[in-house]
Amino acid sequence: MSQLTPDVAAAVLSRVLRRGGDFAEVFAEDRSSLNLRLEDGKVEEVSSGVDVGASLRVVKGPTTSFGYTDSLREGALLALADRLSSSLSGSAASPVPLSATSGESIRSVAASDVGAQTARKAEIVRLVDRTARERSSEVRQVLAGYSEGLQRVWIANSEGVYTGDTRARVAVAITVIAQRDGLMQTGRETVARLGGFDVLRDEDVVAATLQAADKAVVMLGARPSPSGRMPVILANGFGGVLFHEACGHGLEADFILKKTSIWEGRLGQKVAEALFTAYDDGASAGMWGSNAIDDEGTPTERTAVIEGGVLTGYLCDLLRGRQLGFQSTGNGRRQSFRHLPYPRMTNTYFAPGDVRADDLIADTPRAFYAKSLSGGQVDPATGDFVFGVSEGYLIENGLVGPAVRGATLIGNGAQVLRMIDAVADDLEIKAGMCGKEGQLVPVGTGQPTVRLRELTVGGTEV
Amino acid sequence: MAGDLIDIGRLALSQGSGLPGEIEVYVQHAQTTSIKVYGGEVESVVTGEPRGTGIRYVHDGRSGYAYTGDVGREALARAVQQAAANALVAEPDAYASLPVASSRYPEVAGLWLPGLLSTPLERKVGLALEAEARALAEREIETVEESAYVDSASRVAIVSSAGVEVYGEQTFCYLYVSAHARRGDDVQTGLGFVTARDPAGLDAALAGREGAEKAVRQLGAVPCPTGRYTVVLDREVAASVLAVIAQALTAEAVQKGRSLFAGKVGQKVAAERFDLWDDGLHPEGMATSSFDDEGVPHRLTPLVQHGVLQGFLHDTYTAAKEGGEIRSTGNAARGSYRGSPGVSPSNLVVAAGEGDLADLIARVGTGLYVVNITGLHSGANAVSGEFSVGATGILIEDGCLGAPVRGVTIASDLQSLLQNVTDLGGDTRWIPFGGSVLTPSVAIADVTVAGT
Repeated sequence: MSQLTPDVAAAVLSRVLRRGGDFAEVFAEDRSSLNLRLEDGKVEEVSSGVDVGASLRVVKGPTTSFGYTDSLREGALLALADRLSSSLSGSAASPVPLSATSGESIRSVAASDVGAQTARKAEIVRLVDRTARERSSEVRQVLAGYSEGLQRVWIANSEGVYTGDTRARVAVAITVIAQRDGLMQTGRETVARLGGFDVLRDEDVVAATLQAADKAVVMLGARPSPSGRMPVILANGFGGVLFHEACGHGLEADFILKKTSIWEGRLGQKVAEALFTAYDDGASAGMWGSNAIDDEGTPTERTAVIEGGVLTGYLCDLLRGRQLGFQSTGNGRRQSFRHLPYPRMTNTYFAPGDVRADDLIADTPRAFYAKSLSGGQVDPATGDFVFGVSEGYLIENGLVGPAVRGATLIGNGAQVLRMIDAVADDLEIKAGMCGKEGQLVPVGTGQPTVRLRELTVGGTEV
Repeated sequence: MAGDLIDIGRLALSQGSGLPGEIEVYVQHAQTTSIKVYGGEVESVVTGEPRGTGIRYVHDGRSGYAYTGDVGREALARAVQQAAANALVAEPDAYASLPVASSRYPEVAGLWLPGLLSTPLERKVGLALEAEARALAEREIETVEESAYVDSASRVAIVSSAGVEVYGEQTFCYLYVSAHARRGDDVQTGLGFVTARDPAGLDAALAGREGAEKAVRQLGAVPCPTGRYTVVLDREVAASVLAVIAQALTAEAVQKGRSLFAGKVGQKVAAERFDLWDDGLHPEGMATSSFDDEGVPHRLTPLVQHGVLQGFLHDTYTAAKEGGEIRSTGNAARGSYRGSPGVSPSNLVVAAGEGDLADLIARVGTGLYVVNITGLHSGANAVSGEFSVGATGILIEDGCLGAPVRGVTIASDLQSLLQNVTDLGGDTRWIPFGGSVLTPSVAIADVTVAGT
């Protein structure tokens, strides 16, 4: 088993600082993964692999130099340190002696969890296929992917941090395609858990499969979506993409530092109604975006970013936090040892209110009801965001009416928080993957059901 | 270097000589540089050599895959054994097989320019700084959020027990500039970029100016009235929409019952003037090489001619499943050594129309010029055909560009977008984001715009 020992880490940090530098860090990783893919009723492919390597970065003034090697051998790491430091031209800086601050794993994973028989995992994707096809005769195709990953990381830096973490994640991705009269619709759901194969429960996979199948079949009967401005109710769970896109990205410290976020310079200001409190929470057990430490070795935490409608915090990594005059909030994350860390969200959600979702809907004469979202995008500089609706309905006289298809919702982050006029009590957090700087990291997005006074719905019907 | 990669392939192959199945070894080795500058200073320099090996094993119709980032003998032997073990769990499929060696591989000259690796880092940094400075020199540009130089020199070898033994290499680099314009409280962003095979071919000033101009021209943008418009898709927008449509033009999608175009070969699926093909040999394409990701020769494959669907993209598996005269079109593709190949376009090419953008705008007369779309991955569905995305653009009035527009959506369905193409410009450009597409600006009638 390869690993990064404190002795090797200390030697490498000294070497990379031999010609100066304000900060240096070594990030080592050993990751194994397994993927199974089922389509057409067959387990078509089983794939597994291992990636082992380490990266080094050295920061001098405004400049970060970063490189990596596909090895944890001391010789390879020292050669990398020589290559990076050769671009610097100062006198040697001394790293602080390392002291172990070893992070407590969210869940320590026994090797047996991941090594469980691959054949048993094949049964999970077959269960998805069987369940979806038995649900409706209109189901035409089922794609099921099982993936598991075990990542071990070791992080050491010139400020004396030496720490590590073991992270295991397992997920089943379900896509069901239903067909009627030449029309096809898809329903997607994911069951994602922190841990190994043993934490995956068949009944959760079955429930998610039924939801995906039902969504695809329901959407077959959907009419084209209306377009224009109208009240919108966003269901709990994946509706949290709203906060993730509309606000979350703009709170990431790299955008704040470059003044390319609409939230820059607004700490302490009222940005939402008083009923609104929102968090980024990388420390709660069981949430998909949680880790014991972030990818710079900082323990994760729950950060209140908006409290009672007032902007109270940004999401910081070590370097941007320092430049802004803040501590890291444990949001320095990266996809792998081949990537630089950036300030990234972990699990974002906002606090529930005290209205029941059913009552909230019953209290609404007319609205677009986004029951499920398929993802979104934002330009942090303008705050303009968009998200796709994978399952939408029209609400008429307080009742959920006909399903509508092909809608996108757009709005502006600065305005949308003030549009929220009701928050229900049904907080739920869903698992997803967030992309930024070409890097994907696991995140949780969640919210209770909320009502927005007005948003632009982009359908095809004028 | 060719010999090194081929040697790794042969070494891996020899580790499986006692196994009954067929083995394919995919060996990848790249050298990459990524430089970001900000405010006249270097923000980050990232250099690396991503490399690894993927093993595909097929026996009795069962396929298994395994990869390793370590290319030493022991790691390769473990990966071969793991691929064989993984195959035992997969279900047998009569059409699973590895391609045999081709007698001839087309040669494409000029894919590898040694200048990319020999150019000093300072020169590459200089290009990013120059692009940033050029953007900042434009009026109303407040900041350049990011100016970046990115390059890769990538090498691939494929060696298989079916006799394939091929090697390819190419260099590619680009500059991009994300400029922010401000007028009062109004901030708008614009992206400029240039691509080449070596840094000497990059015009940094052009990238900087493009980013700045795109940001400034959107200042003062507001939503436009809801209605049905003729839209002119900017080349970047057209490329990203085509990349989604192309997902439904693979035989994999057809055979799995998830293609909009299943059963439509020989039928009119687009406007008469719309021609589309896949060309893995185009000398300028980012996806160009003499062979695909399972070692089948690249070629030119017509997809739509005069609006009529000509056929689908195949790899060895889908061609075998189709049977008859169908052969692989050389469209096996994989993201990296970590994955086995699937079917995907190489370079997509749309036939040019006539005139520059101004001519096209003049011919369209009234409508919306769409310069950017957001939410494509959540708003366009290659299975159902649904298409609804956020958009920014510029109104087309009296044949000229008028007021800038933001905060609207454009919606239609993918089939209608193709059928309603009314005109194309002659202004083709290679777009390297999310695929490799050569396309002109495209005018499409009857698209719903939701705004005020």
